[in-house]
Amino acid sequence: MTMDHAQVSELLGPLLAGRLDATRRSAVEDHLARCTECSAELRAVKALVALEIVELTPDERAELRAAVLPAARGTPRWARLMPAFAAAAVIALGVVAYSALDVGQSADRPALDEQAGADHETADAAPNRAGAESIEDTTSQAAGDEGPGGAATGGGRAADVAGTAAEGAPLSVEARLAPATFAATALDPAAIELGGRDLDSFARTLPRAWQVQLEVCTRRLFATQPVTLTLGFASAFPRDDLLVAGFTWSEATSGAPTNYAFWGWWRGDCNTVSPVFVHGTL
Amino acid sequence: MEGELSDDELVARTLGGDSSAFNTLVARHEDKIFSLAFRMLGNRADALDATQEAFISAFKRLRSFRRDSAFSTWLYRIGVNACHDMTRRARRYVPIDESHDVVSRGDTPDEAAIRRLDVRNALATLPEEYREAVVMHDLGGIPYEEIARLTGAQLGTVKSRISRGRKRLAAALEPSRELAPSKEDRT
Repeated sequence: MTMDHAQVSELLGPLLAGRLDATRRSAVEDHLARCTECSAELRAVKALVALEIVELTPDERAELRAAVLPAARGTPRWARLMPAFAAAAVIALGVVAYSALDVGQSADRPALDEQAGADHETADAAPNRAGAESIEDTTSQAAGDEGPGGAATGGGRAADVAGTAAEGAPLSVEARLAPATFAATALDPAAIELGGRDLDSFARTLPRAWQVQLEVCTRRLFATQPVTLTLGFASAFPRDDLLVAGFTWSEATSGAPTNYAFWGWWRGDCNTVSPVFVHGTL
Repeated sequence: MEGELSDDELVARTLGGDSSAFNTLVARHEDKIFSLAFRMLGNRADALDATQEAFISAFKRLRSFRRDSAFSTWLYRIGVNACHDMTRRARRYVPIDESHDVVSRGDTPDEAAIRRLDVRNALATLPEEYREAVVMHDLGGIPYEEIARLTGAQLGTVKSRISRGRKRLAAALEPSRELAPSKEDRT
């Protein structure tokens, strides 16, 4: 095996790390033995790898932490509420899946099952899987039983937080299917303002797998007066045609978010968009 | 006690609302990220800014950490991104014309001084694009393809920058070994 400069260049790192098989290793070494340029490159890589870590000075360290830690201290709402979000996502997904099956897309059945599984993976990005499962259990039982999830992991605080959320969360989740129910409850997506766009058109523009926090306002959503919405979480699931976005909101006068909602969009083959709305009280 | 927890566990706790877990992550990785940033940016003040941005960004994006790589690798990439954003925002280094080679210019006192620089300073003499690519790959362990994605450069360009950057580095470190830049640029 003979190698040119470019090939050798790419393999210098692996060579030093001892990750080359015998054949490639000897080919690289053969080349290096007669190539001053590549030998120089190798010496440079060695010098780089040998560089010591540059430590922060005490002042720099203090400055760094003063800038970073306060930003991290206030855990974003979406992170704290993620167990509830995750559960709601499962529910929303189930509703969407049910809706799709109901209209006779039986061929989609396995895919939808997979999707529910995939959503569970998404829930895994929440503090922990056990937390999300415990909420799901709670919800399916439609009772205040927090389920064994939190205790099962013994995972400490993350599990505790999840468990707490589970106890207070969606004991009575409403899932409303559109469009009929949507209209009936006057939850017109077009009436919800979001950066000047309605939610639906906003959702169409979302890239896959993103997260963002932004404040949105609406004039009509379970309140006679304006409330502040925080878009906490949105995710396109492995299939491009499903999107779920989560919100928390609270009345302007109260501090903590007290409600959450999930919007789901299902895009069918015929370019229809079916909104699904799920909300509950925290 | 918390210092003994794995990074993954600390991530989970942070997402669960435990801010002290994130403090531990910062304490554990701050020197490595700062070091990387310093290599890429060439001065401590910018490196400190980039390190701050990297950790704040990491915190905000923690949910997207998928555990398919080590947390440290994920964090490294965020750090690299922060550095890259910083150089893109305010080009503190004027890129050196790629046809110009620090060492090839010969014998002026300035060049002679450059020849005595250690690796650290030699790195700082590299054109920004070269230094960035070399540091990402050789110090950060980031694959060529990902560097191309992060920097928006072609894969071939990234490979070439890394190879040339190393050669210039070697030349800056070893003035006695003559290298012909014109020849290297053909390879």
